[in-house]
Amino acid sequence: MSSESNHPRDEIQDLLDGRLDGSERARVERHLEECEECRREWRTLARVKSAAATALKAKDVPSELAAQTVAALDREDRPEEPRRTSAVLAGRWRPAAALALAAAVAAIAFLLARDQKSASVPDAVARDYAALRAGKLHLQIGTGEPRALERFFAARGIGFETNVFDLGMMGYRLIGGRVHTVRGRPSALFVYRGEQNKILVCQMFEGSARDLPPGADMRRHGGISFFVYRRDTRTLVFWPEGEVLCVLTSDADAEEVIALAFAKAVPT
Amino acid sequence: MSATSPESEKRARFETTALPFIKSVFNMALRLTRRTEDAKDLVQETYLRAYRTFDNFRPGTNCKAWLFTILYSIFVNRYHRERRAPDTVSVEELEQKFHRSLAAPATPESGAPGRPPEWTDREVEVAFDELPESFREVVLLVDVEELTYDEAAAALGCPVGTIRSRLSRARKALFVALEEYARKTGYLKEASEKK
Repeated sequence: MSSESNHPRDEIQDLLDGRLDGSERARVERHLEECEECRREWRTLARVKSAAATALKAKDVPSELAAQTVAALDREDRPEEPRRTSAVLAGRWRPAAALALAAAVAAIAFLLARDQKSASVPDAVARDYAALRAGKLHLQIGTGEPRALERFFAARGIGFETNVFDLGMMGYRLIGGRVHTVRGRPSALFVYRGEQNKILVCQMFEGSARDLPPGADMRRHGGISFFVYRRDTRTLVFWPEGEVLCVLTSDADAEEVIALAFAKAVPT
Repeated sequence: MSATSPESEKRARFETTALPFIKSVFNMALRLTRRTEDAKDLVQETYLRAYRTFDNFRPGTNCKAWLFTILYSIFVNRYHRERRAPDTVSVEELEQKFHRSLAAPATPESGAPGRPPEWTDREVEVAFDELPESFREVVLLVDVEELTYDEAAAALGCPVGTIRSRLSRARKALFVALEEYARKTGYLKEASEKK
């Protein structure tokens, strides 16, 4: 009975990709209810689409890539320095360029090492806190709802599971967050306000304890190691959760910030 | 005097807007080049070019799609010129194979007796790697990265209708490849291993 033209093949694909609306969508859905052949095709293509989305999604990025990309941007921002980036990025080495290559590699190593020193992770996090306090860093979403913020981070490309905790019981109210970067790594940044206008900032980004410089005051609680740093009046408490590094920063009392971190750290 | 220069503001805006997508950009680069070192080069050059032309990015539009547009342009210019070969897929043959497989599937749908839940990620990756490049591109952009047809068309520099038809063929080709693989290896083996 059914000739090829009776089957809305193209529209089945449009339905699958959410490109139909209103009456057109209803018409195709009605057809699917009545036509086993098209229904099977629709289900099969949906399986393929879903399998591709799962199997081919982004895997881990080489750990050095974000830092190298930031270093390349740094060089771009310093036009007075010799432009070695394009040579490095072109990836086409020839024997005659060996000397230039060696120089470029050395320069990159130097720049990376210098960057690591000049802006350690705690320094960068402390700067973010100061910028927020000074109103120079703005929140992209204002919400007191932890799940809404987690959905926001997922929608904005944060590639790991964020854990926005509720600190209401401890006197801190969630006020919002933003997608940020810490040393070039995407970071989920969220902010709480406590009594007397105390501000508590949490950041989560991919990393490990190896990213932290020496000099931390070490604490252990619940089987987790905490790395405590002081920067001016601020206390920064880092701890790892799987492949993510979390940090709480505040100018509240140091022991209070540490206690908040103890309360919220999730053993992995 | 302002505390932050326009350059540092631009840099901060760029890092906040574009860097969160580095994972997706790297994935796309790796799936296109198939070599980690090439992919890393491609990612860095994409970000550099994006940074230089960041004024062209319209806030509120899809930054990830914009980055893919830049990435694809660099990819075509650098890697493609010598490798680009016409896709040799016969549409009629593909349709015949697809409908044959549909009528007598080697992999019953999820939930059917004796059938593992779905294809494994590895099977999908192997089948995907066998697809022509033009098919892989649209699957990555639309199915994996969830770009709209319009955004994918802008990234690849082709009409929206081309995205639609390529995507249709790409999914069918992926299904046919997975089915052929299943016939070769046989799921009965897995069913018996489960017992």
